[in-house]
Amino acid sequence: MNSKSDSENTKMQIGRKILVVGEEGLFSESLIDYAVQVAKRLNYDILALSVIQKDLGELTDKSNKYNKLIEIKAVSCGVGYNFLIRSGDTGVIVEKIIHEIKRIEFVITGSDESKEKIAAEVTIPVFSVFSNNNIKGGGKTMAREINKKKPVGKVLGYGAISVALYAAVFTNADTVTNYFTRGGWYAALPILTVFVFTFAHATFASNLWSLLGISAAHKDIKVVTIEKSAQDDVRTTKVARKRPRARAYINPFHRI
Amino acid sequence: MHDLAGESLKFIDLNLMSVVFLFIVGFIGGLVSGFIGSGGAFVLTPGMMSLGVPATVAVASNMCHKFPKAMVGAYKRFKYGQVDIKLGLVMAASAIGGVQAGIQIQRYILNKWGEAGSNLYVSLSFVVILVIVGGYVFYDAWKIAKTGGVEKVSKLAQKLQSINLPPMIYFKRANLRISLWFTIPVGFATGMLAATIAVGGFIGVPGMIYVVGASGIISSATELVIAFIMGLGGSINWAIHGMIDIRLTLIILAGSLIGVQLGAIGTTYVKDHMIKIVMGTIMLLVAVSRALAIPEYLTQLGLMSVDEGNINLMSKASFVIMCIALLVGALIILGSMWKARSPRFAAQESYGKA
Repeated sequence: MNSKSDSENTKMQIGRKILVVGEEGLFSESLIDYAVQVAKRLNYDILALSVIQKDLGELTDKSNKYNKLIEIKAVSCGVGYNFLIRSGDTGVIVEKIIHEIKRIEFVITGSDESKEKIAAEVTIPVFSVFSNNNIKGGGKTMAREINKKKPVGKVLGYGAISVALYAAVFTNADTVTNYFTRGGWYAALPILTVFVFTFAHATFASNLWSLLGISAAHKDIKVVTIEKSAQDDVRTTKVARKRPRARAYINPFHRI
Repeated sequence: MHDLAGESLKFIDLNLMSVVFLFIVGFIGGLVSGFIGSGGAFVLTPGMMSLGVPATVAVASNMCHKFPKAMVGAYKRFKYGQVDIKLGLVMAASAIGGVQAGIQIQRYILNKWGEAGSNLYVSLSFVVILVIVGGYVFYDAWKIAKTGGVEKVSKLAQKLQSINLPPMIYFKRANLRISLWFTIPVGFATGMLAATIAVGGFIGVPGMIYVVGASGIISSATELVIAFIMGLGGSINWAIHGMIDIRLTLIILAGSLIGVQLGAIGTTYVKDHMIKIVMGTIMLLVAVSRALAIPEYLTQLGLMSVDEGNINLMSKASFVIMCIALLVGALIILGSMWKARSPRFAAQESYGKA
């Protein structure tokens, strides 16, 4: 069902490429723009894959319409381009294509659902791109990046609160220490103070690190290792199954 | 209650140098404890004392900064799914018993052999426990690093988990099932050590790893829960006696709340056994530092004779090595974070540019 000729397919085998996946023949404009821009800057080719559930004429037409659209954009940016239509399960198809066509560096999709479907099957990076109209100048944000808005306001706000609290205590240090060390029920004062300071200062510090771009690498560390075990097993068996294929490539060399 | 505080103001005047010193030590201590679950206190208390703060005030002010720091660290690491709250609560409950026992032993020694005897006991426990436990943690980390970074549950823990002695408790996050009777001694020892050397985590974390069978990352995160509960209890006690210098607490807190979050973030970057490496290294260096303090106490007890110049030199060296221990720990953490970050960062950059 490949819409391009075989010679072009061979050409596609050479360059590094991005696999752009659209489900039900649908590619959002932001997905196309993003993929083309990334491919242009990284000097990659684009391989667009339209996954449809059944071989419906209508969907194929839609896919072909998008095929034209992507082609126009890709060509105008000087990006190598090819288009595939397949039917079946997205994850399985992508996995198959990655093995058929070499040098696919990563996958971009238009929704989180398909990202998850694909990520469960393949080992290369998978990203999803949302359309984000708030960004001026046609910039697009990868799905994960959307939550990573720089918390400048929060840093300044909580920083100011923190500074004010510190200033309040240290300008009245004598009075404060006098009351805080009276003991007995006055013990509540230092404990409460510490809680209040912690709330303001810790929020400031937390936002400060995210502002500096330092955030947790992979959350739910343990959940992943515990719950992933089943998935891991699947992956190891998959890798093991793939090995004989590699050997089949090596054998002819031995004969030489 | 008020008598303990004394009539005159026992609190030191703060100058810029001491503020900067406390802030930086607070930051580094926070970084280390966010990563391995404890640390910082062993430098902060002697550090404050070297600034002229009386020992009790130093301990009290340090403890009052420890519990909010542990709280923030625990919250942060809870969000990363690393904290087993149930394990933390069970450990903390038994640790409270351990603290009481530790205090009783301290009192007994203080009455029998005086202050030098008590100091000697503290230093000796430091050296013996840290060399044995720290040495083993370091050896284990080295072994894991050599075999490619796969952490295994210790044989002792496997054996203990297989003994069906009711009541059995299932710890969901740590993903293990063990009899309550085996977790109690670990918690108890943690509390006792906390009462003796003020750093319970040095026994709590290895205990949870090798006796209970939790992973390094879960243990160090859960230790923060224990530190929070024990620190809060201890701080209330000190506050009732009016011993907390809130200024010192707040300055250290300013640094440590920034550090502890970086340490917590750091755990998500590095391989699990890095926690053991950092912990083992710090424990062994602290052991060396405390070993240098022993001759002084032996001399005071008349069991050894070392001239005063040497003793001064050794106590200075002891403090310096303590600082180095903390610094080395921090550097390993930052170094491994940086190493783990660079490839990720490079990938992000290349996509980000597009």
